Amino acid sequence: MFTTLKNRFPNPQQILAVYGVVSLIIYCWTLIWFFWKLPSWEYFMPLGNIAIVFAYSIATDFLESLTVLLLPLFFCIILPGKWFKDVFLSRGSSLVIFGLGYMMYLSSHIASNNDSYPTNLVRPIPVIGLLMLLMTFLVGRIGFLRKLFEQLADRATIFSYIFLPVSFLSLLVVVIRNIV
Amino acid sequence: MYRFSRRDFFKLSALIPISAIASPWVKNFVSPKLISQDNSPTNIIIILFDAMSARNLSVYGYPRNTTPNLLRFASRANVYHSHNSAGNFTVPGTTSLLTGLYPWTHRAINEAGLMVREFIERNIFRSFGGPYQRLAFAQNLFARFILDQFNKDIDIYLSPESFSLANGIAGSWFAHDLPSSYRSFDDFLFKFDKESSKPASASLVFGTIQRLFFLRQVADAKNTYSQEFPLGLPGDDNYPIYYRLEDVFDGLISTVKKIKIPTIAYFHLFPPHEPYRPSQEFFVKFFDDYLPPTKPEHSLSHGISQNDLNGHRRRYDEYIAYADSQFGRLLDVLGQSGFLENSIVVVTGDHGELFERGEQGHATPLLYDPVIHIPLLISTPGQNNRNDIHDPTNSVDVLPTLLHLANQPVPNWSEGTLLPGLGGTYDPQRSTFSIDAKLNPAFAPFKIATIAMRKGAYKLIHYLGYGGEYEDAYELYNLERDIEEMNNLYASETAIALQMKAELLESLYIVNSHFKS
Repeated sequence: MFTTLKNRFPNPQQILAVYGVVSLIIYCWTLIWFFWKLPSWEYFMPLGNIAIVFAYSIATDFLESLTVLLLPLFFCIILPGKWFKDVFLSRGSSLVIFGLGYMMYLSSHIASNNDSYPTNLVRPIPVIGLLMLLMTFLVGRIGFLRKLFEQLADRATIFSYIFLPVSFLSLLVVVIRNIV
Repeated sequence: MYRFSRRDFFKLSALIPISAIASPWVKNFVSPKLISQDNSPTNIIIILFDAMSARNLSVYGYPRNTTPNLLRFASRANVYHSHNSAGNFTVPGTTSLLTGLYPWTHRAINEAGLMVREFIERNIFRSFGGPYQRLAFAQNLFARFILDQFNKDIDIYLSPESFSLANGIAGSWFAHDLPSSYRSFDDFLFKFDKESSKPASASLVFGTIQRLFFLRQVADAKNTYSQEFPLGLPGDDNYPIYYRLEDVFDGLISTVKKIKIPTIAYFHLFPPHEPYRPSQEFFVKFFDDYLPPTKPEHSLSHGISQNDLNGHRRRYDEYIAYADSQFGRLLDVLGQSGFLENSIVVVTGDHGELFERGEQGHATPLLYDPVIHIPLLISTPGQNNRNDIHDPTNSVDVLPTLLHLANQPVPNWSEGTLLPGLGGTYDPQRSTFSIDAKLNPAFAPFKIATIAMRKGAYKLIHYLGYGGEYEDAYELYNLERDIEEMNNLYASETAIALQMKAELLESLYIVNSHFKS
């Protein structure tokens, strides 16, 4: 059972590369906001307090990025290997890019609704989800697109090595603050 | 020499029943110190209405009948008619009330700002300490940030979303680290910052999903109560909390019924802060002919038309009336349960609200009377008469007064004095201050700020660092003759103007000297 499941997963290097793409988007999104807020925090918050907010933010990003990574891994498990696992770098990275790109769109448009439920944004989610799957499928089929996403994922691997140690440290800070 | 006979003694003994009847009355007037029959400590309940201007309350003579229940409370309270907040928005106003320090000392001067760490032990909860149970509740998260700084001195916290219908507050999930988690999640990661040109949450996935779930909750609540609230559910404009005042006051009533004696409880209620959303019962209650005096538009205002200002004012008045009706329910319970007989009850605000000179709200550098003139009513145990006090007072005076009333030592670090009528006497030479410095860094000298100084009947307003004509400007008003602040006396009453200016600048110089330029 364990071996079957293990065979369904891509190799760790490929997972790390796709995780690099996920973390590049998720962490950078938060960091942009963090640096937007920083000047106002500097007005009244001691450096220690700002560092704690940073730790909470990075720890949250870590959990978010792991959650997002589960989606392409889930497709690896349920779909035939040829469909997803064998082209994990290109299809996995394109799936998370489309998904997180759509999240950015949703996040930027929710607030303008003045706390009304954004039915106009929520209703098309299934259709857009299917569209994203279709695009992901096409990415694996079209040679230059596949290459593009593979190269991107390959280069994004470095972000895994940057963000993972910071995340562990941040998570440790959050855990300690909540048990002591 | 007249000799006091046995017959005289018997004649005088007839006065004993009269003195027994008169004693509570005498006690109220002669000894305003804590009236505790068995000399035990007393409960202190502070009820604060956010953004409640005294100028819009009928208990202070406003022509619209906004506060019949506060008027009822006033019949057994000390009513302060010239009470100013030390700040013009939640953070400085609340912090000054709870610390007895001016904003230029505690430095909680920015929106969502904090006190400097060296002073956080100077707070009302620590000052009471000892046998007192200390309880705090703030619906406004800005106030909650301040309360969180006093977390070592508060025994029971009610979370900001208590008694709400829908909320998206995430910080409460981390009970062991509330100050940091509120700040991280609710003021950053999950906040859709409306000040940003493109508001979005800093947490891309969880923040967006959490907001969608919250909006679903809100939509359900709005559907359920759409008839009851024609303008939408009351809520906090800055943080995701929606509620009915009925539920909030039900919660307060049950909390008050459960508190141990003695307790100091601080209830910071968000209404009548914007958005003004009265219930159906009070909606269009003030569709009347009342028109406030029209004042010239100020160049530092947002330039809102007088017509719009009048519309906002009407909604605000209706929202006050709604809040007052619920306060009336609490007052009934306090009266029926005998709570008022052994408790000091304080009703006040953290700042006021402005509807004039092209400005609406309180996030403004303008420090005209409506934005800093707040209610203060204090009922002492067993008090059954109204005592009107017209002397100028400030929110920094509340902390020392409550400590004095409860027979606790008054700390020498407090910048306030005892309130007249409750142990203090009016000093016409005393100056009090209200400060807006939200654009100034907390750890730097004041270079951009507005400071209003009150001395006797006069009020001097100093604008500093706004550029143009308000780079270094002054206005002087005599509030006894001109409460609407229509006649700037700075050029005509030069003697008092220069004297007050010198005092204000000296105070500012002393404060600024603590910081590097």
